[in-house]
Amino acid sequence: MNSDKPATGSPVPGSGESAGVESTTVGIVSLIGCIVRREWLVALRNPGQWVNPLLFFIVVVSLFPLGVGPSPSTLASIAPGVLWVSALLAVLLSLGALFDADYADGTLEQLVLSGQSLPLIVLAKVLVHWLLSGLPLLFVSPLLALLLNLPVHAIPVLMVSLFLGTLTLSFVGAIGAALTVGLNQAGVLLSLLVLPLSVPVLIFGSSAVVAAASGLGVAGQLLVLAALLLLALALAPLTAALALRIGVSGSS
Amino acid sequence: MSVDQKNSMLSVNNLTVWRGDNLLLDKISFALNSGDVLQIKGANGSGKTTLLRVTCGVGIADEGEVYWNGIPIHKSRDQFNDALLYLGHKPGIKGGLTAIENLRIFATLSGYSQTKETDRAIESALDALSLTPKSHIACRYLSAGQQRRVGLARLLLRSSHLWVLDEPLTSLDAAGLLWVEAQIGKHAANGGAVLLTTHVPLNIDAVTVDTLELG
Repeated sequence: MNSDKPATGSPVPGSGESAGVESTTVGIVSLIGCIVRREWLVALRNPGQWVNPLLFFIVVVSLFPLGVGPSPSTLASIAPGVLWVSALLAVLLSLGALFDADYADGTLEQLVLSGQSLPLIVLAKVLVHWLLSGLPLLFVSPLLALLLNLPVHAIPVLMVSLFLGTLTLSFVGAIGAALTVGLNQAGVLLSLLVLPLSVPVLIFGSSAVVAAASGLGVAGQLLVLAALLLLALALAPLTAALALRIGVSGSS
Repeated sequence: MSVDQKNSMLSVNNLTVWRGDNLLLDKISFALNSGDVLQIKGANGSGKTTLLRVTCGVGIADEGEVYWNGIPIHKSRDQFNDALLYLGHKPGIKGGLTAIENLRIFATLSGYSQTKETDRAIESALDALSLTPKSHIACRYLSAGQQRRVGLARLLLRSSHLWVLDEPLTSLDAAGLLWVEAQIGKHAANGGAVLLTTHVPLNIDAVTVDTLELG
């Protein structure tokens, strides 16, 4: 190690006079790009993070025909609820750890203190998390819908409602994950915090699929889901960022 | 040390922190100006880390206030965060990412765009810390000392007035210790300020290290 080696090539030498004068805020695009790439690499090298919710979804849904019995009409009538409840739990269970790894290795403090917009960082983290754990649920849902004898014409509505719903749930869950960051065994507390907020999504999501299965219009339910998504998209990153600041400071 | 919150760069005024029924920090005050190096000493559990966290604004004090250029830090968070480099108790690096990936994220978060110049700065920082051969290995496979070095490489990548270093010498070897001392000396000579905790007596040329004893 060379103790007197100058930091040549450094964008700004060690502690120049200019420090603090220039703005050190990066653009929105490069900030989000940076966090997305970070989350993506971390998740790809830790496959359990995105395989577990998918397996959970598949296992829970495929247990129902075994428990309830193979009668096609019974299965068809419970299919929307089963698919939706399983998807909701799969998303929320995986979200609990959204900030825990960053908290444990100290990078969360670095993110909070970086001076960059924390809501944007939260937004990027939630989006990557949804891409890896919410989106796969969408792709296997047609198969599981057939397993439960859901009418084929309801499957597109199922996928659209799951798209809107799981994304909303990811944002809502991020608030819960931020509030419980640093707490051990926060699973039950997280459920208590987040489940009441996710009930509207569940109600409108499954009722859209029920309506589609009986050939009724679904525009109303899907629009409400879209409105809930916009609400969550606008408010959840701000709320979660505030909760994170408190969560990080609560420990030492 | 007298506390002059108007004219000091960083001043910490009567910080008091309770941990349950325990008074952890009792009216701690100090000030830091350009060129100052302040070493916090104290037994384990005397509140060194807590003091640093509160000073950085990631911890909450029950009483007292931290001022940056005369303004409470919760009112000047953006300016303060820009001027602050905090190396915490935990390494603050992602174990699943390589040293280069970790430092690229840090550079972006510090406001540098992803350019060749930034990459060169990262390479030279890794070189200065003898990490070049290990720069493409996921950090979780590095030794504790090497992980600490990846964290310390940030000292070269971000130009901040105030360095707050929590036990920066943990698991470092003798060469690492010398390197950190040299960096602190250079930073202070360039007009920066350093607040750190460590149990090792520091030997820095041309800079007086003030000490504050806790507990």
